[in-house]
Amino acid sequence: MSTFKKAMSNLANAVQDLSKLDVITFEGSVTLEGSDPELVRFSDVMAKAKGNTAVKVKVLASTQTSIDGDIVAFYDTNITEAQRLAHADLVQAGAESRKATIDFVKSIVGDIADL
Amino acid sequence: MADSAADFLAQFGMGLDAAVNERHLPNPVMAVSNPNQTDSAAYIRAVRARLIELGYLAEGDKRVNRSNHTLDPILVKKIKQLQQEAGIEVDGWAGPETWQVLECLVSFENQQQPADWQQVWAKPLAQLIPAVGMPNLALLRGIYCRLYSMGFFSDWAQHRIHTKTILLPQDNPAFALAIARFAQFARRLGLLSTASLTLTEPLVHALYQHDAIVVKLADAALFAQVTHEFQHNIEAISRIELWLLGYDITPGQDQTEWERLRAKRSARPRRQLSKTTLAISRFYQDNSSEALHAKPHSNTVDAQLMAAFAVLTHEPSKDIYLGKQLNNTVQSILSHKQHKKEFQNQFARLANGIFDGLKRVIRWLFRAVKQLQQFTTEFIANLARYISRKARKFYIGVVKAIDIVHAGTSYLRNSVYQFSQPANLLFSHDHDFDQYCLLSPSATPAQIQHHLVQYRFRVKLYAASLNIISHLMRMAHRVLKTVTTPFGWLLALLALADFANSAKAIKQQLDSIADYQLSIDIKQALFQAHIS
Repeated sequence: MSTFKKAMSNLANAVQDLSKLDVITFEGSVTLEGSDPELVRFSDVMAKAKGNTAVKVKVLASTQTSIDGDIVAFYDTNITEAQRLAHADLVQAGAESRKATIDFVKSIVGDIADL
Repeated sequence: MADSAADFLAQFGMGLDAAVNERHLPNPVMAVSNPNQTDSAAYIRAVRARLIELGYLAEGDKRVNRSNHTLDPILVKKIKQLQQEAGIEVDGWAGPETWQVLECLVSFENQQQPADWQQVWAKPLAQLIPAVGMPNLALLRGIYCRLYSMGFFSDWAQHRIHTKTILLPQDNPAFALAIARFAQFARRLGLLSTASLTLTEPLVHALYQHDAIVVKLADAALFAQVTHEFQHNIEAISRIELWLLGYDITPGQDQTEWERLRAKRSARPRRQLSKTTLAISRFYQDNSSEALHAKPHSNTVDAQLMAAFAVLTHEPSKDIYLGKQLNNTVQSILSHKQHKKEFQNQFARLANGIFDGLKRVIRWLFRAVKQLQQFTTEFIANLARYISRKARKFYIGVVKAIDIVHAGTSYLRNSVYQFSQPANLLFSHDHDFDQYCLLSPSATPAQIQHHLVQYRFRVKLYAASLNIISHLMRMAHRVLKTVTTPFGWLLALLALADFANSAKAIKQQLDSIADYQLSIDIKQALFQAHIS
């Protein structure tokens, strides 16, 4: 069993580029069939969706936040209030994940430097 | 990330995996056919030791001896027997309820108020010791063991409890006599007012209030009244006290050890010395306060010794361990030398007997300490006892913390999350935490909100797991420093305050996720209910 080792390795990779945060909310109907969701990649889902003319997927909202505070946001004119709030919540989730990771890295780098 | 930090993370992850695989850390995520698999090796040894003390397991069989931490069918069967006799849920799992019942039965330190057992046992004492009808069998075992440890049976070897011991006093004359002898003893000390010499609720109260017995014996006048008739029992009680204080002694019959002589060949033959006498001598050496040394003392069990014990029955302020006492003990350590083997044996004995949890921190410390020349057995033992009291509270927290770290770090798998079937929403993120969401046009606001709450909880778990890991790393870092610097031992002691602070921070993190359920699909969910 190497779950912790794998997680720590993923974490090490995660901090390669934390300078900007992208959050994109799509609208579309997609069903995951048969696969273990933990093994599926969102990029694969979107690639199959785009390749299927019966599936209509569009971008509802997109937000890019830079580490220097610049924000570029796009909203579809027909976005509902519930969808807009969901997107905002997701931006918050991304920011929290990133902050937790940065704080964690700061703490361990400090400990290593001290050894 | 710098290579050194990435390497450190990888090594730390491997260390955590190894600790879980070797069962030094609990593994609540493991699929369970035997629910005890979530428990660590040290906890299983502690459960096994208590089952041996109560006569459920026969000591001496290699499969069931105290150092065995495997989960065999015999252990599960005996846990069920205990649960059945105690009248609690029979599921073969030594979980919080079973452990707390064991605490009531065998602990000298805790659960000294049988009137409060109802909070643990869900039964008032009047039901456990009914005026009419059969007493609770598990409680009878506990009473038997306690009377045996206090020397109220006539023969140590003959009357030691075993799997075939007759537990009903009316069918076991030796047990009935031991109860009667204790009743007389307690009445003479003023702890029992009834004239009955049989098993009653007041007698159980008197028997389990161990600290009260010690305080009574500290009264020189009372001691003088009882010592002639009950000297044997008072010596047994003093062995219990010395054992609780961490000295190299066990409750029950006195044992001897060969004297250590300085010269390899001595003019006189080596003698066999009473371990009680040796422990008392060390006790007076270690407790050099003015109150204890007001008069000359002997290395025998007397009122002065009991008075010294009585002083220590009061729970000290925890600040003592974080400040003044640590500094004083550091000074005594630097001037006092002990045998390394004796220390290892003592520590192993304690490790088998006390609860785990924060004790894992002490194991890290032990690995650092054993490389050094100077150490003190008694300090580590007392420290382990202090930690063990806190560790009992922290054990469930450790299980929950490890589970949160598992759940939280699974967030790093960058999976696609769906919280319904068919999925109205899909969530995902990249390795650098860019977020993606796919909303179905038919998703209602309520559905959107419901799914978002669940996804945000995953994010919360991730942040919590990193927080816990960083505190664990801080603890490990302090231990690493102790091994690599000349004053490692000193730093190790001073680091204990930091351990307490880090443990407190982890606990606060756990408390902030109050609605977290352990993610295993069986009765471990009861953990949450019991601990809450």
